[in-house]
Amino acid sequence: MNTYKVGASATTPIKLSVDVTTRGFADTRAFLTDTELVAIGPSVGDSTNASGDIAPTIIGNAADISGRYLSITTHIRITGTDIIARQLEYTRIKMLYIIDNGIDGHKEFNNPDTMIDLNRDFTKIEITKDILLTSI
Amino acid sequence: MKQLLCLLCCISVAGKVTAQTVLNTDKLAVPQSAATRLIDASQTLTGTSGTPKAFALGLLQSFDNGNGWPQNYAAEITPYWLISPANRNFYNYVGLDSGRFKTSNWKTNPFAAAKFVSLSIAFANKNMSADSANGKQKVFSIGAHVTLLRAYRKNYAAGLSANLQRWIDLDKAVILRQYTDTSLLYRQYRQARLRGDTATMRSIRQQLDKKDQAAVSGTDQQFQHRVTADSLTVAIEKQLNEKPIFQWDVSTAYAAYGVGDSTWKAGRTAVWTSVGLNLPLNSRADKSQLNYLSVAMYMRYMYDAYTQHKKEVGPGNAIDLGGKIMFEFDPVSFGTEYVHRSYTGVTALKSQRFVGFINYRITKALYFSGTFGNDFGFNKARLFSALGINWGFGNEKVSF
Repeated sequence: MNTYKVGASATTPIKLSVDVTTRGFADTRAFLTDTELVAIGPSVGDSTNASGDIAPTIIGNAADISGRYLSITTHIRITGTDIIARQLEYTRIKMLYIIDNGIDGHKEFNNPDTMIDLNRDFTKIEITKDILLTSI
Repeated sequence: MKQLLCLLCCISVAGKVTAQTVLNTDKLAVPQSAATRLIDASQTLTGTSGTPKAFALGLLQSFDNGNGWPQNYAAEITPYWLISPANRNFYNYVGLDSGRFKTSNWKTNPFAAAKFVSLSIAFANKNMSADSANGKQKVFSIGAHVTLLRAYRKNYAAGLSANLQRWIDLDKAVILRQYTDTSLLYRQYRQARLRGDTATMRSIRQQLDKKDQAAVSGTDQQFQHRVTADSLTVAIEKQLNEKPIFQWDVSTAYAAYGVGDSTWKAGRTAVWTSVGLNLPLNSRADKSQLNYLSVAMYMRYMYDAYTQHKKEVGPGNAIDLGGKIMFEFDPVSFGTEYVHRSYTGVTALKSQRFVGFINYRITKALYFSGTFGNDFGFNKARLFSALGINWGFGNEKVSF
C-alpha cells in the first residue's frame, strides 16, 4: 500500500484528483476510511460524469485526515459486442491518482492496487486504490 | 508487390496476435470491407459501415461455386484499437461533445467516426473480366474506409447522456455500500481488498452484485419500472448500437490479379463514396431503434485494366452511380440495389447491375445471404444469383 505524508497542519487543505483513461464509461468515488476500509463520513471526491475523472478537490485539512486511508474505487463498463476490442481496452486502462499540498507535495500514483474483470468478459471492471495518509 | 503483401500480412498478423487469446469463430465479425467491395466479393456495392471492429476475419461461402470449398477470404483492422489514444474517454469515443467536467448540453460530434478508419485485405479466386469467358483469376485486394460524417436523431445525445447519469447515480450507491455495509460479505470483501486478494474480491463481488443491484435500484420515472445499474448498461449498449440517421462514407481500394504462379498485375483501382439515410421504424420513443428503412446513394470511380471493348481487352475508366434501399428487421434484412456503370468515352460499355438481396443473421458472426438479379455485363444482361454463408473463422491458412 502506498503512503502520502499530509503533515499535521490544521489549515493545510489536501487535494486529490483522479484521471481515468478508458473508452468505457466510468464512475469514481473516494472516501476517507479507517484501517478496515469503513468510510468515515461522506465521500470526499466524486466523478461528475462518465469519464470517471475526479476534478481537483479538497479532501480535508492535513491534521484531520492524517492516519486515515484515502480509499478510491472506480467502476468501468466497457461496451461493444467485439470481445477482442474489449480485451484490448481492458489491458489499456490507465489510472492516475494525484495528491497535492501535503509534505510530500505533488505526488502521482499510477498503479491501482487491484483491477478486477468481474464478469471475466471485459465488460465490468472494478479498480481500487488505497493510500495511507500519514502526518510525518 | 511482395513487399506490399508482407506489410499487409504483418498488419494482419499483428492484429491477430494481439487478439489471439480470445480469437474463436463465434467472436469474429464478418467483414464487408472496401477490399471485398472492389472485387465484387461483397453482397452489395453500396455499403455503409457498421460498428467498427478491432479485427475482423471472415469468408464467404457461395453455394454455387461448385467446388464446395470457400473461395473468398477477407480481413479488416481498425487501427484505432491498436493505437489507443492517451486522452481517450467515453465521450470522445462515442462522439459526445462536452467540456471535461461539463454535464449538460450534450451534442453528438458529426466527425467522431472518422477516427475509426479501417484497413482491409481480401483474397478471391474469381472471374474479374467483363467478358463472357469463365476463366478465374487469383485476386488480391487492399482497401481503406472511413465514415467522414454522421448524424443521429434529434434526442439521441440527450437520451444517452441521461441514461449515463442515471447509471452514475446508481453506481455511486453501489460503491457507497462497499464502504458502509457491515454485513459479513462486505467485511470479507474489504479484508480481501486490503490484502490485494483479487480472486476473493471477485468471488465476493459476484455474490454481492445481485444484492447490490436490488438494494440500490431506482425507478424509471417514465415507465414506473425498476432499473438497475446493469439494466441501464444494457440500455446504453443498445443506444450505442443505434444507427445514425445520416452517414457519409468514403472508401478506396486496389486489386491485383495473379497471372500464372508468380506474376501479379494491376487490376482495379477505385475510390467511391456513399451517403446513407437510416430511418428508424420503431415507434416507441424510449426504445433504441433496431429496425430501419435504409436508403443509400453511391458513386464510384474505377480504373479497370481489364475492360473489354468489342473483342479487345484494355484499360478503362468507369463511373458507377446507384443506390440501395433496404429494410432491416433484425435478424432479417432485405432490399434492392441498382448501379449504372458507364465508361468514359465509350458509350457502348454502359451496363447496369440490378439485384435484390436478403440476409439472415444466424449468430453474431454467421449470416445466410442471398443475391439475385442482373449483374454488370457487356452487351448483355447477365443473370446473377448467389446463395452463401458468411462467417468468421480463426485458424485456416490463406494460400494463393
